[in-house]
Amino acid sequence: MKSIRRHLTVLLLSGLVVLSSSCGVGFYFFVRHALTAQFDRALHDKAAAFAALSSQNDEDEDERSVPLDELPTPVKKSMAQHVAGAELSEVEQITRDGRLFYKVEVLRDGAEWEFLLGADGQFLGENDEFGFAFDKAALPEFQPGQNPEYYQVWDEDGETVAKSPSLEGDRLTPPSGMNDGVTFFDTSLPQEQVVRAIAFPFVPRRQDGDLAVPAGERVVLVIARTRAELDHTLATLRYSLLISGLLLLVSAAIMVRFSVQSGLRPLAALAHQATSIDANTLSSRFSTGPTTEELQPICSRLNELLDRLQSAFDREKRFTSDVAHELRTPIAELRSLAEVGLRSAASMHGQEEVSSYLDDVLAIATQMERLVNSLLMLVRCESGQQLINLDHVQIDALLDESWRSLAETAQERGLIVHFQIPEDVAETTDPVLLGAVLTNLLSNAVAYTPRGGKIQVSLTEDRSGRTLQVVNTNNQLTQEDLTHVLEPFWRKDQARSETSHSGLGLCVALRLTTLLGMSLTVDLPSTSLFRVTLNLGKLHSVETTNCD
Amino acid sequence: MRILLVEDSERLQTYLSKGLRMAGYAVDSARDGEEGLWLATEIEYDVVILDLMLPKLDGISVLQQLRASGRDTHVLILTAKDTVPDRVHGLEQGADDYLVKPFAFEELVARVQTLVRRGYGTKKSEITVGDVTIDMAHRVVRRGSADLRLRPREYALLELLALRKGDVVSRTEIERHIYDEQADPVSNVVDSAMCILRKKIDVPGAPSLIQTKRGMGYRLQGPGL
Repeated sequence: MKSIRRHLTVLLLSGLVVLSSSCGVGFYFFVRHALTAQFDRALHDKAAAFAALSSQNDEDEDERSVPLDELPTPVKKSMAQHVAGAELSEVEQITRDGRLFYKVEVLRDGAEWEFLLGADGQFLGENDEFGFAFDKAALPEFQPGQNPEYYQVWDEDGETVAKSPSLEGDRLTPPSGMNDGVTFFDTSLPQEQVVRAIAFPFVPRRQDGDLAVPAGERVVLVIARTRAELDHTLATLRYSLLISGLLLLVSAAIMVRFSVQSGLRPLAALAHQATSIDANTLSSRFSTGPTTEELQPICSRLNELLDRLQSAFDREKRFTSDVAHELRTPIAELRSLAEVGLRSAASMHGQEEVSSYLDDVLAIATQMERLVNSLLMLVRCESGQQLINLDHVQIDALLDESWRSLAETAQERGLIVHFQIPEDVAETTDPVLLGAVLTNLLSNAVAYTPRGGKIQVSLTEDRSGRTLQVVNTNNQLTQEDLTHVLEPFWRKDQARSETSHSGLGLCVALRLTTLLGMSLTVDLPSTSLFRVTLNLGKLHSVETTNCD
Repeated sequence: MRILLVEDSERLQTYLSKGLRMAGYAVDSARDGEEGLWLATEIEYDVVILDLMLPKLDGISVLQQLRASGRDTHVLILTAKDTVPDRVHGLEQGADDYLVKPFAFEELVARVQTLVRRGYGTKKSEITVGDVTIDMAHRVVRRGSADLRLRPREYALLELLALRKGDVVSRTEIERHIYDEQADPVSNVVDSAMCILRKKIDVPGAPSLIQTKRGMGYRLQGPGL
């Protein structure tokens, strides 16, 4: 079975998973991209500065020869250490960007050798053919140490022309395409994990004479820097995203569960209310007051349904109790008759007295039978089980037949009866059912017309069809009673009058006429007259399909 | 004991009257509320059996008007209305008992008998006078262990005297309670009935249990009082 709670929970949670994970992944890639770009930009800036330096160094540099005795003591000590066994040619003091270096030129074994010392005498690297080392090696980030940066320069033939001191014995991997412009790539060094590198081709414009690269020739500079910090940052970001995602999901699951539960609470309350309603508590209603907006229409509909149910149930209950009540009196009669009969059995005098008892038994049985027949007819009409057999019916003959059994009673009660029926009026309908309707109308008139009163039965025809009217003297009914006359078991005087009418006659007649597609109405044309109008329906073109 | 039966069902009226008369009651009957109310106001009945759904005037109105007129005759409602509110309403309006149709005739008689006894202020169902016991529950009279065979009207007469044991009951009172409108009590009918009753309950030779107070009436009293 489909559960709203489960459905909402699954929907909300899965939506949240998709949404938060895509947000998280998107955010991670955005940040990674931004950080990498920043990293790359820093590399690029460095490379560009590097290239610029290499073409500008001479302009910015202030080089001058320094006599040995003017050298500071640390430089002297360091020099003596490095120069040992070689012939010193010259010491130049270089000022670059406000920093002081000492370039030492020596002759060793007939070859010229240069090296660079810092102002504190630190050995910064030896000059190579290209001469970069002197310029760039001076930068502390390229010195071996904690997380150094690396550079290496290749000429067009793939020969290394310079590399940073931090590389020591290692080499950087040259980029695959040497002439592809600026590219970024990841590579690895044996002692270092993974480094990020930029390949930066440029043409150095050095003017000093010891240029190993012919002027105007391209070189490729690769500057690399460890990725460890970046990777670490990214990993931290990944983990924190994952953990916060999980936390979000867990808290969302709790929240969704809670909010779905509290959101559905009115529904549960409604269900609770509904379970408390059974056949005995049909009068209770769903509260439509402080309930939720969405449930309001449901409650209203349910209440309407309950209204209908209750009235149907009440009607049914009243009907049942009316039936029981109607049967009580004849049963009480029968029982008293039998009990008194039994008590007096010994003293009964002959056939005559026994016959009078039996006559009464028969009369009671007949009365009950009539009641049961009416009830059955009513129930069949209501449940739609009453079959209709259409036939050609002579209305006047049917009226005659219905009247026959009532004529005697009418005469006894001194009723003045007048029939105004045209002859040979035919209708296609069910003769048995219409007969029952007519008998009910007529016997009702006979029973409730006061002694000496009048009954008039007339049949008229006009454009709207045939209309049968039964009008009888009645000085008891009021306008208000008219709403009840057609209800089952209704009688003006709730006590049994001298007739044994159960109060079902007009009710049964009404149901039957509805079944036959006719209409039955009651009214009081004047204060002392009661009129039942039976509209037999549209005039059927009584095409005489008779066979004569 | 005299009973009024107000019931609109002709057959029920016929058989109930017949049965009640056989049980020794004097029964008058009315077919509608108005007649019933008139009779109940005019005559001092021991019990009125009243249907609720009556032509002309319904039973509850009859009861209300009867009580309003000051009659405190015991009323038993006999009706097909069986709901609790109906019963409660009937009792609240001054009825003494309520019986729903259909009913067992025996039960009706027992309830009527109870109301009669209540009317004479006794709850016992047996009254003993000398060596004669009147069993009102079974409507039999015994001397020792031997049943005395009494006709219904003779029994009714003895029962009335027994219920008023020790009191002098006037001839008019006896006529009012023992005979209904169907009977035509000529002046000596009570005397002759009393004569027959004495023969049946008295032991020959012993003083009679029923004493005649000349000009006043009769008194039922055990010997030695």
